[in-house]
Amino acid sequence: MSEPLLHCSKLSVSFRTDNGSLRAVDGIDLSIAPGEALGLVGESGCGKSTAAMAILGLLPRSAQCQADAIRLGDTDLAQASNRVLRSVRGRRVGVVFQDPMTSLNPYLTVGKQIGEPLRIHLGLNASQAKERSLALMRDVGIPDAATRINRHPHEFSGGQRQRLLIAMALACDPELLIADEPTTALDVTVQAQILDLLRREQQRRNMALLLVSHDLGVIAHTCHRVAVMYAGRIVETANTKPLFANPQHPYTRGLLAAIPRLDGDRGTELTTIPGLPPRLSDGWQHCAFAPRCPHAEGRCRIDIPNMRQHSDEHHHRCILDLPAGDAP
Amino acid sequence: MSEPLLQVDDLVVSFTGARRGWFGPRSELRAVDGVSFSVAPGEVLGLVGESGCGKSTTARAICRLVAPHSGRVRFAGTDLLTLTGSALRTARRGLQMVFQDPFASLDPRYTCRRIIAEPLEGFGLASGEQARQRVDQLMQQVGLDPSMADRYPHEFSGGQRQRIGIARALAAEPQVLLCDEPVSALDVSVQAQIINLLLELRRELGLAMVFIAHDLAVVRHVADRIAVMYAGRIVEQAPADTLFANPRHPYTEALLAAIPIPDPTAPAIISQISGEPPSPHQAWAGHCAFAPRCPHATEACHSGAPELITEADGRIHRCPPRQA
Repeated sequence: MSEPLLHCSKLSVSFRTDNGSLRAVDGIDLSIAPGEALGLVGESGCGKSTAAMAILGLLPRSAQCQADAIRLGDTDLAQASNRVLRSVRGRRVGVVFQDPMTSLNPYLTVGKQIGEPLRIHLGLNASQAKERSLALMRDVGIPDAATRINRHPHEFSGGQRQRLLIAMALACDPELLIADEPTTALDVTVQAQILDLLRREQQRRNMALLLVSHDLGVIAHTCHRVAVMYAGRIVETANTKPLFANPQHPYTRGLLAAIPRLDGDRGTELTTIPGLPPRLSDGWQHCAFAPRCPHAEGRCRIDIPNMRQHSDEHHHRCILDLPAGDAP
Repeated sequence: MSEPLLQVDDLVVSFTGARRGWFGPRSELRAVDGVSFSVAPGEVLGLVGESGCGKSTTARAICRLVAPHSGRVRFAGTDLLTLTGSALRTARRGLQMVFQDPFASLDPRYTCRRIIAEPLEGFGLASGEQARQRVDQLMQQVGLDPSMADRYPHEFSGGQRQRIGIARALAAEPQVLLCDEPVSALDVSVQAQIINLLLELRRELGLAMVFIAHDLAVVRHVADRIAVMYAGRIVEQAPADTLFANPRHPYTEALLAAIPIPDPTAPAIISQISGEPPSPHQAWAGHCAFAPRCPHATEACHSGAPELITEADGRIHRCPPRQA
């Protein structure tokens, strides 16, 4: 792999709560090459969004973030001042949030909002910014952009608002786009349009993409590489095809088996992962999946398993040697 | 086909909106616009469509949680829409709902036992010690530990709460379950558990279901027959396998092509249609509601309202034959 664009090492995030400290992200390593699309997948509460937001320092005050390094090119975001972070957010790293309804400012016209990063980061004047905003709105497929640039967010539908957010995130030609569940709030036909748009812009701009999603289908169609998270840790990472064809970690296998398939037998019992997703705690002292794992042995409950290499770029965090191709 | 258990004919539900001006007429929003279908005993009908297409409103209108504007709902031989008061309550005991949001659909001040016992006592099916035993039995049936019966909803996880909602529905000994997006608020690993539970209950109790969901893979797995809704109307209805193998309505086609399959070697998802589902404020009296987004739309689609066409393979749809 070429020199990574983004490299996080040992990123941890804890939240202080009334019931003590909760560790949402527990020492994850992530790297993304320039132009690469990485999918971060897991169930709710596994820490995927928290990890993505920690990269840009967009965490609430109750969060404590620790990392050996969060390197974006030659900048270390973990050590960076707020001033430096502000110059990175929206300029070198764009963000698309999940909820298109609450991520836009209802008081400002969409043209103003798309133009804002252009004026702040690139120093364009109002008319230059407007011209660029218009081009961006056309790029992301807003019909009749010339008149609608002066409209307010409530005059746009959900899918169009998501397109506007993408336009805003792309405004300064970022090297990396972080998209946090960008299609979860959308209907399936609109989701297909937005995924098309994301994929197209990612390729056209040769931009790196960190796509956070709970939907393995969305990840399979958008990403080159996948990292699966469980209870704040990455349990498996591989290129997309080998991960889906030959998952190694029992959690990944369980997750893939639990999804009803369009070509599966109807009405048959689905394979399930027994038990419930884990509650957050102050960090697990052993494999967090062991309580639900059908293969768990005594040694799974002693130590935190290290990342192991399965093949070239396929790593997983399970000490057991599971037979290949076996169901979960 | 045997005598249908639940038959819905030309159901229309409309809501009135804001007045136009101070004294102007109120605007009318047609959420459900002439929906007809039937469910045989023990059959599962899937109802799919995108948000705002009227699928949840259809279910709510069937058990009169919202008042339908017109139409007929025959359940086990009686027309539910003509009944009132206690006659209605008795008649719809056999028709129970499972709601989408396991957080909002359980009373936070009731214990799990009281939630499940309420229909038992309300319908006079059991009381006292008998009700206690029945609650324990129902909890076991849905995979909950009866020793947790005295806890409150917030002490349960989302999947467990959905099980409580199912147990509450089963307590009334229904013949039909109306499941309104019962798994869409749940994580994948828990979703599979609830789907398995519903399938198992269906096998054991011979329950018929109207299963509403927006996830087509889930619906395909559970339903025998699927009805696809768009803008308040059913645009296509067919046995599940037929629908997936060979969709006839262009909207169904587009919907199927847009499903992201969790397999990177599968053909890429395609967004066949542009635009977004229409707002229900629009009235479609004159023509096909899908025509503005339809890649095959002709002049005729924008003028005449499409008739229902019944085909030999049991498929019913609303799209005139296409010229190749």
